[in-house]
Amino acid sequence: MVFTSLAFLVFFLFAWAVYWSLKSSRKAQNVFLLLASYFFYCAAAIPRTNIPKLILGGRFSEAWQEMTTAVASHQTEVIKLLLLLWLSSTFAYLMAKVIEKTEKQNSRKWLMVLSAVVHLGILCYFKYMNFFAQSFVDIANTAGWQIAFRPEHIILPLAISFFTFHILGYTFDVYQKSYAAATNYIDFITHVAFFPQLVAGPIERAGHLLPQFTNSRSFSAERMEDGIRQILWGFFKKLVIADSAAKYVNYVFMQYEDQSGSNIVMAGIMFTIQMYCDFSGYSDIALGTAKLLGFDLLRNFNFPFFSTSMTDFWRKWHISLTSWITDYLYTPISFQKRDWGLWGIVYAAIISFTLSGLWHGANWPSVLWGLLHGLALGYEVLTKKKRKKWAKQFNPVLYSVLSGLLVFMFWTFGQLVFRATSLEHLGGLLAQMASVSLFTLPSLDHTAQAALGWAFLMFGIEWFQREKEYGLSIGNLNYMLRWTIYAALIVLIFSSDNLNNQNEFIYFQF
Amino acid sequence: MTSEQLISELNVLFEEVIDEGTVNLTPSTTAKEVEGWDSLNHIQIIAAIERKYGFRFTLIEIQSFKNVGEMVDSILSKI
Repeated sequence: MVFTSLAFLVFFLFAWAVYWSLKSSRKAQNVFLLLASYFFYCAAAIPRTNIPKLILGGRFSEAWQEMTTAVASHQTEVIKLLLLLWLSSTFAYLMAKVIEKTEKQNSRKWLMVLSAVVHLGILCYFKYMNFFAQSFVDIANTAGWQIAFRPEHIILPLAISFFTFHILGYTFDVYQKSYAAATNYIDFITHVAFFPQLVAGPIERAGHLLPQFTNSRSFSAERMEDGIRQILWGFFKKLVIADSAAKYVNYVFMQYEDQSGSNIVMAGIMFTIQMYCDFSGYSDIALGTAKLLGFDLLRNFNFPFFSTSMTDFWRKWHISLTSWITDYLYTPISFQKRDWGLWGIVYAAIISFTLSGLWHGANWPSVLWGLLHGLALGYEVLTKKKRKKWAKQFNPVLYSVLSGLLVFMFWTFGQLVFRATSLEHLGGLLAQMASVSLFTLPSLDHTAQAALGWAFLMFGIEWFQREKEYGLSIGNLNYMLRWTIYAALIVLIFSSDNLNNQNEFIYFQF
Repeated sequence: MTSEQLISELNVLFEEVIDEGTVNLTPSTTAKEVEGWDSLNHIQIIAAIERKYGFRFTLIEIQSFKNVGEMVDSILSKI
């Protein structure tokens, strides 16, 4: 169920009304959230139906009939998805309890390793098995052994990369004694499945989200408006900019052999815009939806395109993943290699980012993308003192602008690598780019021009709002002005052609 | 060594590693309050402390410090 679909709107309105009608009982609210979240997750296995339209038309019995038919015909997929989520969170809950009760450090360590192996094993089976097997076969065939391999058809369960990291983070925290194991089973499995963050994050930390399930939530009109405003900003970025930019990007990347070098560069820029508006838009909708239910999710973006270094950029882009990787991957590796000095940090950055690339996709372009960013961070670590000296020789504003531009160019080049479907595709794109046609004017159709124009406006607004929580944090403006802006955004969103088109968010595939 | 003496020595050490100007540590200071005390510098600070005082931290210890005071208590218990 995509956030920008009619189905989600109907589902959320119903869930929101029932949830707040249960305000007097926190336990009842949590049980309801669990059921609603599992329903939301199961809906991913069912293709588009007419149910939302039937509900809105008041034809409830027909809607119920269609729903039961849809569930019955996709019974196996629904049961598999539910079992995976339920068993994973139940196993994490039980293992954390056992780890907490175990006193011997060595036994605690092995229990933590067992838990990690099980969760990562499940993730590897669904996400990486074919990739690893295919890569092994390719290498073996290159070495002269003739191995035949037929990839198994494995469907990647929605959200598995996100809830696996969520659960693993909790297990590591309990092992490190930085967080006590959950005492209430329902609260725990509900916080893992909590639908606003289930599908594509933010990757929550138990220490941040779980206490919100054990405390009562209060309803406030101001908070509701803030939530709706953040959702509106997310819809604007996703539907008006990202989905329109996607049309140009998809066309150029697919038909790259017929494109000029400048068109490929422009598609890279447009993909950078698409990816930011898609993912930060998704995160705004997730955070806004959670606010409407009285919860605070972790901030996932902090205006990354105003960064002046890649280190700074990564502190502001997909913050929940970066901080997860910093805590559970980068810090242990750099700690182990602390006697290497700066090279230990470079080593840890390269390993962490390469693995982060692999988390994003089971393919070589994603791994290469991660490696590129690891190398960039390594470069920044090694040249930090030198760059400080250079900065003093320049006008500070000019230095910041040039650094920001360099960050944008590097990120965009990385996005070309990231968007490529294979190393051959990447080679083709780069070869096509490296021609005289690179110096011609790129051709943009009307939709792409409009997306670019709205993106400029969006970046402008975000620049002025860069100290705030999100681009449309305008709670301080007067009532009339605020509601005029909301109305304008609603008109733009409805006239975008992309509403209810079921264009999935990019990060759903991870 | 007292906590105050150790904190004043750590001030010098932090300034050398972070290289962002003056650092004024107190027992309640957290990483967020010190410019440049980020995840990249944290491990270098830890390694510098280990070299200066001749002991080793464990990973669980360094990840459990919530402020300078907890770090100081841990160092004092080891030297």
